[in-house]
Amino acid sequence: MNDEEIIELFFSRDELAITSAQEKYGPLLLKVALKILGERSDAEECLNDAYLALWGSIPPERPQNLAAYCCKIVRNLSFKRLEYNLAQKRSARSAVPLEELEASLSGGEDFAAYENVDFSIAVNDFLKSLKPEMRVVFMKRYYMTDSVPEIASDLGFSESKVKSMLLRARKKFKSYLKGELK
Amino acid sequence: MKKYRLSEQLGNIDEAFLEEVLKYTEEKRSGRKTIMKSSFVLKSAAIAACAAIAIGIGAVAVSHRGEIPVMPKAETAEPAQTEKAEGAGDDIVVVEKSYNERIADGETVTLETYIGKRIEHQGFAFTLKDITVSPTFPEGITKEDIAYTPTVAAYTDGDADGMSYSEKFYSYREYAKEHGLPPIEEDEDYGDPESGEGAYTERDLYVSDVIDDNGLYKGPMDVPDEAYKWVFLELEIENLTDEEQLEYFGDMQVCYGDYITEPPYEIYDKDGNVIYTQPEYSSYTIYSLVCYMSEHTDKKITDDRTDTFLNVSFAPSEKKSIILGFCISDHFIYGDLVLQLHNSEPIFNQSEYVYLPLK
Repeated sequence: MNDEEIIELFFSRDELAITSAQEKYGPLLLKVALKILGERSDAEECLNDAYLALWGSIPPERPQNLAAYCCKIVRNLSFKRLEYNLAQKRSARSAVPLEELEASLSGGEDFAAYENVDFSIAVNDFLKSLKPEMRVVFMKRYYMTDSVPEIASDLGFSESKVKSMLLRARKKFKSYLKGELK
Repeated sequence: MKKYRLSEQLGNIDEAFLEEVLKYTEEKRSGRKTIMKSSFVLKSAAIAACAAIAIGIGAVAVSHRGEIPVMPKAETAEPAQTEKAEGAGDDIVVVEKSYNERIADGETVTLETYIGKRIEHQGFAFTLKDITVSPTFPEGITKEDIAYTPTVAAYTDGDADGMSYSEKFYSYREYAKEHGLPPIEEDEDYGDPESGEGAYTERDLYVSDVIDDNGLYKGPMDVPDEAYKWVFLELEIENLTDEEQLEYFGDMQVCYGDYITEPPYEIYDKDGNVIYTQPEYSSYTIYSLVCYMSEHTDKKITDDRTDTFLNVSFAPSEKKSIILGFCISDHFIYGDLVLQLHNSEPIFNQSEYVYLPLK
């Protein structure tokens, strides 16, 4: 079943929509959640919430790309769950890329300096300014929380190349946000 | 302040970017599968040929400076490549011995060996027409291009060179203090002040940075102009106008010296005497390298010098012959210099090390 057909099922409030989305994108979404949460039970729980969210948001939303839309929901729900887990002192490996990015921006200090930056615009503009290859690497690391070896393997790069690209992307991000502060 | 506010903010990005990631990743994966399938038959010849080029570049660079001993890295010797590619004609390069075995047998291995030979790789073919080595910079390329050295992206503890970033960081800080150099920016200095755990700096460690046996930062190495040499390879490529082939060829990369400093290694002077022994891991010794493509082609290289890779862009062209120029600095040892066609598949599986002398 193609994406448009699945979306139509959502619009006609047919519960087959959930099953179809699950069949088509379940493994991908589970991977996204697992990367962030580390625990399969947490990830599966998150996925259930995501399907519910999907049911609640389509309609009125009509996603241009269903895979990306689902990933975004799962990713954001996973991070909410992660935050809860961290508050409960439960570890999660996805904390590493985020710490890496936040630290590069603030030098380990509080993130408060960027409190007034409108990130929803700034991040999108920043991503637009990157070359596609670097943008993909940046997204995979800091949005999808992929590890460096995973990115290298997925894209066919050496790990050193990925590290180098990430370093430069973080620098650009920092300098971009500094510009936004002025 | 909420610790992971940034993660929430990133959650609001335009879905088009996420779509791009999914698409790009899928394309890369499927592209790799296609290549692996199509290149199976010629794989052994291709590996051998590329290895030969890699080795040869080093050999040419060395021979240009005189009779400098070429030291293979014995412990990385690979089994000899003895398979002949199915359907390969006599004009296709098949290396029957590994580079290390050739050296051990007292043979001379140079890139010249492959001049005029047709090399097939991943469904297309090229012939190495000529090699020249020159100290002169090509028109349009300046020393400033060289001065842009790849950064060392050591960003986590226990990085590939065996030294944790904390160690590098504190090492540099001590050095800077001692020599009155500007300290690392304050905002880059964090981590546990007692243990150094988590210490982090994004100050780039350059190729010219020297770290001694004990992991202490020793300062930059001065590289004189005359240290740079250019190696030009003239390649005649068949069917360069074929779109499908260009798709692969367009990703051609020049890889070099990817974390090469597995100790122990030695550096020789022009008479072959050992002038330096590195018993432990050092800083990265990736050297300056600039790739240049002559006017024979319609396109120039992209300025995407990330770490050990230079990405070269091609466009459909009626011209078959191209010249690739690599600038190397003989101040630095280097490892695999590989003409890699399409970055998705590890076509080079031999680590052959050629050591260049310090002046």
